[in-house]
Amino acid sequence: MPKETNAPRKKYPPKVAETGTRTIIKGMFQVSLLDSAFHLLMAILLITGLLIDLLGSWLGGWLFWIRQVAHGYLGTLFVIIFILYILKALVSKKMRTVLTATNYVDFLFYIALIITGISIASANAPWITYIPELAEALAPIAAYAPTIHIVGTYVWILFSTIFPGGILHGLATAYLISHLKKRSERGA
Amino acid sequence: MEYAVLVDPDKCIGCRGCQVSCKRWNDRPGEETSFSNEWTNPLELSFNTYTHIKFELEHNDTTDETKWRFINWRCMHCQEPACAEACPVNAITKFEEGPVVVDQTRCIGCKFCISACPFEIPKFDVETGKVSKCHMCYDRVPSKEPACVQACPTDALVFGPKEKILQLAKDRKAELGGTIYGDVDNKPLGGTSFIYVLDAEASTYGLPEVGESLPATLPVMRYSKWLLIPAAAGGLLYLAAWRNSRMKEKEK
Amino acid sequence: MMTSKKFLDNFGRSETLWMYACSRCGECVDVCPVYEKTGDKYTAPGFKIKKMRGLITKKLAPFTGSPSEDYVAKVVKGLYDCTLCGRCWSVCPYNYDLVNLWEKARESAYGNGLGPEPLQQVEEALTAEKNIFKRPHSRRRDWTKGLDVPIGEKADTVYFVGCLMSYRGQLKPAASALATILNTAGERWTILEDEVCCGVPMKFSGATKRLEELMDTNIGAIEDTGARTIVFSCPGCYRMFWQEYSKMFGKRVRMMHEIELIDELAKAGKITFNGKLQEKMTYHDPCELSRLSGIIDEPRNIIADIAKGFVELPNNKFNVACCGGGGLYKSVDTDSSISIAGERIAQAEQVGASILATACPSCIMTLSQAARSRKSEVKVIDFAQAVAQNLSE
Repeated sequence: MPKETNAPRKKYPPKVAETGTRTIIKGMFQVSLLDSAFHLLMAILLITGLLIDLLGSWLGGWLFWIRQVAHGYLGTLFVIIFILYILKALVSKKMRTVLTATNYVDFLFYIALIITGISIASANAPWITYIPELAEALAPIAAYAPTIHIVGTYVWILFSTIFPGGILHGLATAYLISHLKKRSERGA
Repeated sequence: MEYAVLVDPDKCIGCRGCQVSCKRWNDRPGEETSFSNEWTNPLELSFNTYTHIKFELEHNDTTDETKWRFINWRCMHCQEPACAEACPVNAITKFEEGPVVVDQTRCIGCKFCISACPFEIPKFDVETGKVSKCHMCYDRVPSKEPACVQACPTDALVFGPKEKILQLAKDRKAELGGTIYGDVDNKPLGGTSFIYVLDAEASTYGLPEVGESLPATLPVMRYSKWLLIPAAAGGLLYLAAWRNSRMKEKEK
Repeated sequence: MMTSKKFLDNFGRSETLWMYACSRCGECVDVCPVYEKTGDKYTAPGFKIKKMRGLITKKLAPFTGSPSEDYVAKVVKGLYDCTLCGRCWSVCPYNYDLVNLWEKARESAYGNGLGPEPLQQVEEALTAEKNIFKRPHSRRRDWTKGLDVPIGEKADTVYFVGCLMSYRGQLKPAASALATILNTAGERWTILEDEVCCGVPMKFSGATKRLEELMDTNIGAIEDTGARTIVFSCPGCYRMFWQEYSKMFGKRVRMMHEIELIDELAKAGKITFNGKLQEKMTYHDPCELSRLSGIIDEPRNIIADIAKGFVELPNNKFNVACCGGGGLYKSVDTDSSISIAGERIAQAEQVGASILATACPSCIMTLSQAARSRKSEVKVIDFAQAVAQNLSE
């Protein structure tokens, strides 16, 4: 029986073994800024939206800045990012290879949410007077926009939980990231 | 006890005293307006303008007569306000005295009320990021009448207990032979606390046709959050199916 | 009939979760050597994950019905059209252990009888003769004839030769080169009396049923020698050992690849290099060694000492492009495998190298075969050979 040599147990090379939360976030930003911005903003918008709709009756005025900045200004940014993202997704062959049917349905939901979101935001806003064409195009849905916006979100949540869509993907990611430490302790 | 205001355009002389007193009581700044081909001024209600008089000139071609129609316009203070139903933070309250009031400290500026209101009353302000509208001087009512009513020199606006106002409206209708808009003849959103007695059809005055009950979209929106329950149930079923299959594997 | 339906039944918890967490960024699609060559989207890593995720969802959801057999066959074929080079893993923003995923998925496929014909033959060979070529086990030590190689003695260092080095005549110079190095350094070393396949081909093909049997034989033989260090020529065996065997050995035994050993010996002054190679030399990082085991700097340190004209290949180090021979892909689709290797040879020609050194018997076999078929001037040799030629006595 050989004695102990204190040979360190070999691990995967550093770049691969470090699968921590930081690595994932860093990796995401390195691979594609657009991708990370899209995911980050979507998560923020979904969470703040749910916060407003579910806890609104209790939190009330506390949500003012959340609505204004996190759901409003970031929402504007999201619209721009989403347009770039969807163009990239549809143009790049590698993304078309890995996107599932559910992802495309998700995109349709996002588009509906974006249009109604713009419609809600445009009410009484000074900028809409400079784009009368848009105002005209949005006029027919103006009265239904909040309903479509909110019901659309919940239908999307239902849809993407039952089919493996965005929500399931998000939950699996959140679960894994929260358990990453244990995983790396165990040694890849 | 519920109170109401009777609006009688036939008596209105278009002096805009109501506009001025509303601004003064609520301490709202005036608005810079520009020249337009309308007499109405300001043209639209806004965050700082809760009420205005709409001027309409009617010309009868056969008799070559002109007729002015002055109509006081602001929030109708509905019995079942669509704006309150749409508000996600419950910032809009219907008081039992009649006023429908936006609580500025609760308002988050989501503009859902703007989309929901069939009268296009609530207005958003970019600077403050909030919504405001006429509140029927809930800080005066009922011990004093609303500021606009007090200022009216011709009793075109009359404030009082709702039953009394309704009786007044019916009497006035008999005189004018027109319609009552807001209650009795039609009840937009369950009836309103501002009641118009008109000598012609409501459409002549440009008043919108509004259904008696809330549009179905609003309760749908309000209760759609319950969809989270089947979503969670679906997720849990997945989890259960997966656990189940893994348990079987372990037994093997 | 039923077996294909059982594919991916009770798939691992972590693997399943990762597949749902996959961000669908498509980075892996661009770098996959097999997808680049064949253009068949079922070989693209991201597409495979998508399809496997779909299969698992269908299994969990009660109302979706079961997938058709053709469909499963396509997915499984895609799984085996893979060199397990791990390049998909190296670009994954989540850093997810994709090699492990492919191995686990293959295990599930093979366990349900979906393993491709050539790999079933490999399993048969391993069962019958304990090597992947189905050559007689008794002739495993034949390469030592005429060489000074101690067999089955008590020693400090065990040289684990591996199937390819033992049976392929072409690789005999490589094995004997390492023997020369070990002798020159004056190490107390030995090869095993009863060495069997390390089992990594089983891990690759997913036929893990008889894995323990092989592992136990090897562990017993190694413990008998009392050695504290094991040295490998084959990065496949090496990874198998440090990943799987080390669970049994714990900290008692050190595992080194020949390159690590040479580097250590050179640093300790036990071997010295004299003249330098005059020809232009380049080095191909074997995936199993550089990407999956992290040995990147050592070979370059040594090369600096032995070669005058050293040029790097494109796509080197961590991001190395696979030679095409990994993960038993060569036995599944030989033509495609060789043509992937052909590209590597072309790259070597482009940088103007006449010697292509590498440190993996599988890479040597595949690359030299490609060089022959392209009638290339590039000579493919083992790293130990390059070192042995330059040893000062």
